[in-house]
Amino acid sequence: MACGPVSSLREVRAEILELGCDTPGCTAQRLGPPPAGALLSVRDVSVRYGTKVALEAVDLDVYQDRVTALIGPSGCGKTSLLSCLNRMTDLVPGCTVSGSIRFDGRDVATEQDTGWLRRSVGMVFQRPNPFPLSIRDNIWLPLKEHGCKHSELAARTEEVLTQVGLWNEVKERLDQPALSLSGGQQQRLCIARALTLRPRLLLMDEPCSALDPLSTEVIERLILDLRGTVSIVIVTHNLAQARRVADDVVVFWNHDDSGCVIEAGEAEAVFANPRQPDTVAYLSGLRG
Amino acid sequence: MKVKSTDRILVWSLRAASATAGSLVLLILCFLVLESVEGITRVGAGRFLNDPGWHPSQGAESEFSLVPMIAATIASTIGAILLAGPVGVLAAVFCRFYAPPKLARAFRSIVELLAGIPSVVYGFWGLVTLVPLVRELAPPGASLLAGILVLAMMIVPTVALLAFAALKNVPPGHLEGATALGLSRWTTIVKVVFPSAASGLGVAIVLGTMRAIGETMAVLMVCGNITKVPSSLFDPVRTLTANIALELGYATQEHRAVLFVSGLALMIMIVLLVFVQERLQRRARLA
Repeated sequence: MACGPVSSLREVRAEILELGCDTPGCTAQRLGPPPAGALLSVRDVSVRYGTKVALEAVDLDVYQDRVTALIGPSGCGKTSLLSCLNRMTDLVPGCTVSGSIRFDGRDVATEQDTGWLRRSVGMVFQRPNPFPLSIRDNIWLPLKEHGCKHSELAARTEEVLTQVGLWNEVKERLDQPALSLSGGQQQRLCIARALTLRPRLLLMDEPCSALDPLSTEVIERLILDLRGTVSIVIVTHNLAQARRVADDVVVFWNHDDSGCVIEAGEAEAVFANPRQPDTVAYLSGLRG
Repeated sequence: MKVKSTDRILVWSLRAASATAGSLVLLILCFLVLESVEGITRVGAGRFLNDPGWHPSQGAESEFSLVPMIAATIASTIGAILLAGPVGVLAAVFCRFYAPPKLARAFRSIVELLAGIPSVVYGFWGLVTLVPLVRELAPPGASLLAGILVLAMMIVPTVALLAFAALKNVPPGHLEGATALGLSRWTTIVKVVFPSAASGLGVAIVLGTMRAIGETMAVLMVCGNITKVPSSLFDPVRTLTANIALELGYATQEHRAVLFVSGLALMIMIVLLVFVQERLQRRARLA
């Protein structure tokens, strides 16, 4: 069927009725061998929690210095995929990950040096989670742990706090508890904390979902500023946000209670010309 | 309508139950204060601290110094908490962050069982096992040290269980954040978990301390019960609680009244600790 630009809701609805639910026309995206330019390549990755399959046979690529948005309805495994990328899944009892995840030429699943992995792949969570320490210690703790010289701590702190636009707001009160900051400031502090280790890839799990619209705007601007210095994979429920910040999008969907990727590509192309009927329905707000 | 009337019955029975519980505590406190007032006025408050010793049944020549007992209570409690605090907290850390789930479950059941052992059993065990061991180090054996060791054993389970609960309350976001930054488990525990659980761990220590202060039977059995300010760990001592238990049975007149004063002194210590605990808990809720 033709899934060109959709002119009217009625047209989309007609298409969905015609195809029925969980249309057989929508198949999981399969990709060939990892392309040379990909920073991160995921092939045939499945995630199980006990016997429940959260994610089935996912293929996707993430390119250097671009913002890749993972979009799709709730419960289709976006966050599960994200937590495989820096092995946060190790924390979840009963969680097994199969398939291949190659980051920077190394196999994430078998990587012995998790310190390297977590230095190279930073993560920002849905709810701001600064440690119950001072603002300064939130930044210093990871730096010290990864062997940053004491003489460099102050400079690195200023560097990352400036990068997230927090320096002028907090430079007078670095010794105050991080929890005294507003929600938006806390989230920017968490982004700064993730950036202190100079990761090559930054994972963001719905970083704005617990924030008000103004703080959201600040974070989105920050993501756009970071583009080019660090590659970003962002999970979002907010399609408008994905449109605003993403270079590439990956669309997740639920098939038989487990998540899969149904479409991926450059953001403009996917938004303008979705190929899969489920994507069409999702992007137009009719499903998902 | 029917729902409403049962509702009213429920509300009133709840009110009655809480009024009973609350007034019982107040009654005990009033009774303690009233009985003590008599002792304080008849003997004079200064003598509890300034008399040369504790010889309460010698008519006009009686001496009523509570200092040896207060010193014994404070020394045994501090000693016990110095031992049991770190051990209990580290046991909780092991259980929460290091032990495989099955071992952690087994460990917790054992600790819960330990917390339920009657104090007389601890005292009995202390008397036949600990006291001879201490005697080998320095006679007579029944001593402050034996009391500290038995008390420590008794409050380790309390501290460990409460500390475990405090560690479980650390927001998962802190742990995820620490893992995502590649922090080692030890750094995570010391630099992130402890600051986050500080108030809860404080409550664990305070409640353990309260249990140590109030414990009577076990210390009575292993401490030797001599009313003297201890000069070393191997000296026999008598705590406030043991003193009351030993003497109330035959005490009359002023002697009896002074025993109530020592009960009041215990109560004051506990009230102070409850106050500290409340403040810690309020901080824990705010954090």
